[in-house]
Amino acid sequence: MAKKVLAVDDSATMRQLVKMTLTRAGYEVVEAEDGAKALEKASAETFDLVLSDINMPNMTGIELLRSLRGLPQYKFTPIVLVTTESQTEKKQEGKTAGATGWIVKPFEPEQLLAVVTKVLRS
Amino acid sequence: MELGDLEQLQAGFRHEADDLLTDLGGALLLLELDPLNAEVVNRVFRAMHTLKGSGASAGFRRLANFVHHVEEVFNRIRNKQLQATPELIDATLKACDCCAMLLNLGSTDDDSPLPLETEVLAAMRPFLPDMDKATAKAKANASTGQASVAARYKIGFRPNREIFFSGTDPASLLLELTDLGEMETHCDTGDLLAADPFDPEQCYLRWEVFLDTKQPEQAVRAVFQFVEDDCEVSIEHQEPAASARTESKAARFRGATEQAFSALGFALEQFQSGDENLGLATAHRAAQTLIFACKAHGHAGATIAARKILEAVLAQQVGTLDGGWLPKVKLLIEAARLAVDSPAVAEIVTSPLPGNAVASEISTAPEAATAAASIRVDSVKLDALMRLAGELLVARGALPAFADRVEHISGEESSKSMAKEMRDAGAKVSRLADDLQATVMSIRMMPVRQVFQRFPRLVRDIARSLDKNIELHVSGEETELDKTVIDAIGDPLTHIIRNAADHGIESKADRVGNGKSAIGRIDLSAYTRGSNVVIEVKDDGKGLDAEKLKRRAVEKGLLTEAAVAVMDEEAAFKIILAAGFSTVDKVTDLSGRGVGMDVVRNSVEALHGAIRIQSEIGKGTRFNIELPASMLVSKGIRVAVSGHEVVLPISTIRNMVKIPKSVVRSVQGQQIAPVRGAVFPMLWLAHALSFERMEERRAELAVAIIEAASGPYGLVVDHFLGEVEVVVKPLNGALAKVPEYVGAAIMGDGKTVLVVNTERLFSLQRSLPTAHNDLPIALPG
Repeated sequence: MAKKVLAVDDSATMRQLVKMTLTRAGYEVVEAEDGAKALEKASAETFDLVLSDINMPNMTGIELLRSLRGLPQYKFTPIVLVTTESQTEKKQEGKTAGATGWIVKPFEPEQLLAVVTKVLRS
Repeated sequence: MELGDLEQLQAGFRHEADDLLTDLGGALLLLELDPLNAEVVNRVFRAMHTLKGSGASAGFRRLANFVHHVEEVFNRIRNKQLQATPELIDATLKACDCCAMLLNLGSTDDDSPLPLETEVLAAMRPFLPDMDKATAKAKANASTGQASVAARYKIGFRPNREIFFSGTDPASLLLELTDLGEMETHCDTGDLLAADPFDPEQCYLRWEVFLDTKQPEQAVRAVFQFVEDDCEVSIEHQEPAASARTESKAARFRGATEQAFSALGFALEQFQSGDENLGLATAHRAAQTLIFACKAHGHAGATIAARKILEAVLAQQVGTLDGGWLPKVKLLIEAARLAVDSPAVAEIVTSPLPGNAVASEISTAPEAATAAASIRVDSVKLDALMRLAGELLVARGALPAFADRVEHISGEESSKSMAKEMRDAGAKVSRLADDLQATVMSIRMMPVRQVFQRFPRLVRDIARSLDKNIELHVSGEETELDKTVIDAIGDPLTHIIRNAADHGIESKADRVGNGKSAIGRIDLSAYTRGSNVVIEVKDDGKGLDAEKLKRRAVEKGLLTEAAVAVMDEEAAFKIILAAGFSTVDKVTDLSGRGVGMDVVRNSVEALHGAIRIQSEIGKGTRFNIELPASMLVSKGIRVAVSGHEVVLPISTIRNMVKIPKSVVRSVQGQQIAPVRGAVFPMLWLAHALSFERMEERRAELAVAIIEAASGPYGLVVDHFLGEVEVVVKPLNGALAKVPEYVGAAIMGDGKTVLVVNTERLFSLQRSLPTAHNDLPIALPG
């Protein structure tokens, strides 16, 4: 069965890019436009991977990450943060909050696919 | 990525970028008013961040590179290294304009910078000492590439005990290493055997790997890129070395407390799902861990908060508490979280309520509003839907009439009941048609914010360029108008506001000299009145001089002495809306050269709206534009004239009166009559529409006082027949060129009636060469 990815970003362009890339690679992608909506969706169904932007209105990616880690079904789920080079300090913060990894914007579709394959391996 | 994908992505990004730039513009102006507001700084930063990140991903590299510098400046503002000065905001607003240009350029190969781009970057340079360095670094990074030779690496990997909680499986990393070459793996299980108590959710293993690979060391490191900071990873080229990384004390504290908090969260889940004892046991352990971590970190406030959790858990375990345990412990956990995050919060932890939220002065509502779920629909489709709904409304009118006929054909019971059923069905269709129309209309309605949001920037730019101090106060942005009206009202409002800022508001010196505040004020507001929407622009500037306006109009040959003689003050103010009229001798580049304000009149007329101008010398001017909220259904007054029936749009009617015929006088060929204390020029509708005038034996005249842009006038009709709601359709073919009518209205019974262009009717008559001689009636007395 196709693995399910929750793509969280307030930018429709980014969500579109993620969806295009991953859908083509055989993943099932669900979109959410901020942390709060993502949390809602993640509670309603279970995802194999959460890919989240950091700086978003309503609930940031870091807050989302903390909340997800608090849910039993997401205790060990890979959660990848999407950062930019100007946010290096966020990597550590994300890591402490339980992030599995990160991908730096802007990225090529192949880079995204490499990270997703890496964390979903096993 | 496939070509079609990229195009789709870019089209999507253009839409998104438009929205972002609009929001950015608004946020920047807020920031200028309140430069220290962190929430707004963050909003600006976030918009730029998205613009950059998404732009680069959608192939707008040039835009992304440009935004990068501006974003950097705001990053410094966010970190309090810089302050948002008006100069900086100026430059940033220009940067937004530049972004819009770059967006239109798309992904072009031409790299020569736009003039505005160079200008903005030059303006940003003082705020960014590292700008050149950053560019150089980016270039250097781009050119890193490494040759590869076969090598043997000794890799030590000791995962953090908590590694599973970061969603990482250490085994997957080892698997990934196998992709790189041949390897030999040793697993050290010593810690596992010594673990007491053993926690299955922790990782006790460590590995030593010897890897033979042709990949560069970089590729080996990349395998551990996500874990190298919190796991022990050593990668050695043959020789051993000991460079274990250790977490900082603060990071350890944070990690430990976060773990405890997530364990507490898990415990509550267990508790809630019915596993009360297990949940309490987990909570007990987690609370102890938290206390230990806080104590070890020397954080007294957090330690107290954590103890309170443990106390609550203990109380519940021995059963001394009743029902409300869960909410209480949740509060305690939140309080502890706050305490952990900031030592300063320790004091409020003991107070029962955590809700001490500090309200931000500036509302973030616009941001929330743009996040509302929406779809983009082509307005042509909406128009089509609206037309269909209108036609359904008209078609339903046939049913009752049909029922009447059925009833009249035969008086039998069966046909009577058939007629009744038909009427019932008709009534139902009516209700549905009404609902459908109301729904379609509501879809077309949009908040005026869409138009209003461009004005703060406009006023600010004018004020800065003229060295004036002007505050724009906007209210009623939620007021909704039909999309057609929204689209059309932007230009006229721009002219009015520009005019107010440029000509209305005086220079600082003049204002102070006249005892006014140096800061000028323009109020832009919108509100609903009945089925209409009123948009008002009010300034506290120098006001309009009616006499001066009249003089200029005569001088310029726009109006005759006779015409201005009967003009009341308000009509005189409207002279400024005439084409080719300008009261200012010195032409500025802002408000144009006497063109512009007539755009206001034309646009508002085209929307079947009405303008009123009030002004007082030295106090200011108020433009009041009243528009039908919806273009397609409007209210009208049915009137009878020479045996015909026509409709007058209600939006232009000030009031309807009956006056004695005897009060009508003629002054220099113009019929005039006093109505409620003011004198109006009179126009006979029958004459204006070239109907044969019926002989009038009545001593009273039915008069509608019409508010036209050229001034109010009285329109004499035979009878008023009542108010109607009509769907106005524009005329086409030869009729479209007849200026006396704005369109045709379809009445509820399906009958078509013409709608009179009351706005222009009077000026049309005046422009006819015969108008002055060929008077409609003989002068009384």
